Amino acid sequence: MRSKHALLWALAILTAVAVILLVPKRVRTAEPHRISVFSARSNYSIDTFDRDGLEYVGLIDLLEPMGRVEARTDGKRWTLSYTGKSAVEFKASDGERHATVNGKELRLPARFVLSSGRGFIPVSSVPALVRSMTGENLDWRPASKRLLVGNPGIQLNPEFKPNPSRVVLTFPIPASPAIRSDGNSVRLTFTREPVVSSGSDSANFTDPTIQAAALKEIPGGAEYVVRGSVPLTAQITDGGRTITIGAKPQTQAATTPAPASPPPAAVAAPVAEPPKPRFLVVIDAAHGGSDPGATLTEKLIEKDVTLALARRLAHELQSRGAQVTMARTADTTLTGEQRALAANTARASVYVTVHAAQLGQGVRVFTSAMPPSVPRPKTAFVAWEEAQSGWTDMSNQVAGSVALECDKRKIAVKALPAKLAPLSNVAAAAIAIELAPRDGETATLNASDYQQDVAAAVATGIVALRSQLEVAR
Amino acid sequence: MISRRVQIAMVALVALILGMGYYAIRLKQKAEARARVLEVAPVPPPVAGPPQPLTVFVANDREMTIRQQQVHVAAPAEQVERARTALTELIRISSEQSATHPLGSGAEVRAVFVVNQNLGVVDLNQAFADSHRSGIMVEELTIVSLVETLAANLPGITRVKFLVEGKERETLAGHADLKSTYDVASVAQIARELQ
Repeated sequence: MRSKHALLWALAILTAVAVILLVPKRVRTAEPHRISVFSARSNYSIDTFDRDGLEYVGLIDLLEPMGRVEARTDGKRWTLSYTGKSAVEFKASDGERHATVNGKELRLPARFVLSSGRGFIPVSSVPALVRSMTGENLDWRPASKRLLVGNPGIQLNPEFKPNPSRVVLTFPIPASPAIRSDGNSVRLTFTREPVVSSGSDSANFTDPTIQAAALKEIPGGAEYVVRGSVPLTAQITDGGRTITIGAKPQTQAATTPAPASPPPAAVAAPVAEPPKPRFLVVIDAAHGGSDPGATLTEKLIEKDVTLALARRLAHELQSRGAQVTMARTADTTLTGEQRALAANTARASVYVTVHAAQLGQGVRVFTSAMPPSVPRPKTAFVAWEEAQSGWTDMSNQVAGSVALECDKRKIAVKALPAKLAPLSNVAAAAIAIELAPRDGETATLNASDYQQDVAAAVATGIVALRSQLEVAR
Repeated sequence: MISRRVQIAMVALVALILGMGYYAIRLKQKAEARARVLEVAPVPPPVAGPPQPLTVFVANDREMTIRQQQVHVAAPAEQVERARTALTELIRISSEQSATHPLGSGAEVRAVFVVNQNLGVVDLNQAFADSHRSGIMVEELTIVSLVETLAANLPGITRVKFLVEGKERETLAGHADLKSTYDVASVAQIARELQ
């Protein structure tokens, strides 16, 4: 009897071992988390990955948007050259717990990981490492995983005003938080702006309408919550520079006596600003994760070039006043449907998918080969496979504008239709950019000055059509 | 103290696991070997007789062009088989050392057939897709030259569908969409821009 039990135990242990060994590691790891980085040059977020129970982040992904990076691998040894304020060299070896920054020893809280020519560091070492690499002041907020490099933080200065009771927030730049009314409270979620507290994170008010307010860190951002005794609402005015939180107008009428004189216009009779047209560009770095794309050289694969160029393009577009969303910000796998969904759900004005290839030189701009559809109402249902059909004219205009700008900058360019899955499924002006070597030398695909020239040309070409694109959307 | 029977059972189980592992590796190797395509030249048209003119559209990577060309080969009288012969000839041209748009070794057209009199279906072999260079432009040049060649030799078709080993495939080599059909008129427009 005892031996039968022992046999069952042995079987169970062996099965468990087999399951652990056979189930792919990807299945066992948790969903990726993100670090949001705010710097003077660019705001972006990057995925982090679970590795042996610890959270890791790619060092190239982390630093590339802030400066020029070049990485090289020599066996287990990995060297990253970063040029921001000054040139800095990071060196580490796969599996070791220490690294050097310009020869200075830096202890890592866990092992350095080298995979496919990319170096990964534990997230807990990010503040120390970024500080020593960039030489900038840092504000690392572990609860929200926000990294503020330099001093880009926007201080929240809530001001309580009576008669009628309201909390007024003013910002130096337009803010666009997600606003959610939840019973007697209002939540403003800031994920695009580096909103930070200016002092105390919470305040209590001795007011019958507004009782308390607090700013707290949430994953990827900050949340400002105002609680009251009646349903509250928030209004954005002054182009997003002022947000006023007060009682909902009907509630106020029901719960407070009618004022003798008309109440201030900002609350009782708010003048709603006409909605400003939004100009959003969705940039999709093609391939990624398990899909490497083309092998360009022995050490250069398409998915890395597309991500680097996409980041430069994002920065160039942002500096020209466009809102930008990136379909992927790290080495992650996305399906064609997910890429098209990223553009369609964001209601993008323009979708740009970025590719790279060895063939030829310069830049090729592709639009969908789909024939244009007959005009139909904007609210009409359109088949997923034909989503682009209503936008082909606009896409061709964008491609033409980009080609013209490349031509002006002496970048060889060719514009053509092509049949690419994500383009056909996007309900917006959509183009594909294929970066080819500058002068036949494949290595130039990764040259930062060349990528910068191309990114600037593409961004200028897109922004030149901003007004038409806003009307079309 | 573990009894002798348990020890024997443990040893047997470990041996079983090792044996199964070895068997799985062997199976995988066999499947890979089966999938590996032999490096063979395109099959010549199985007909004899005097050479006849066929139209093919040949891509040029350096110039980024598609050029119409006449080839003279022995071809069957049946139209679909003639179209297949033209595609095979196109692949042969692209397999030469001096090819202007080289295709991978072993690339072949397995079959060509017509559905509902207007849909041309081209079944490529695995080597064609697997060895194809990756990139939007390079894949587009291949697709345009194949569609134009097929349309020139099968005048009734309005759409072309590509299969790989008889099955649907997402893309040719990561870019050109193979899930949907190609509209012959739209491809002709691209070909004109590439001339």
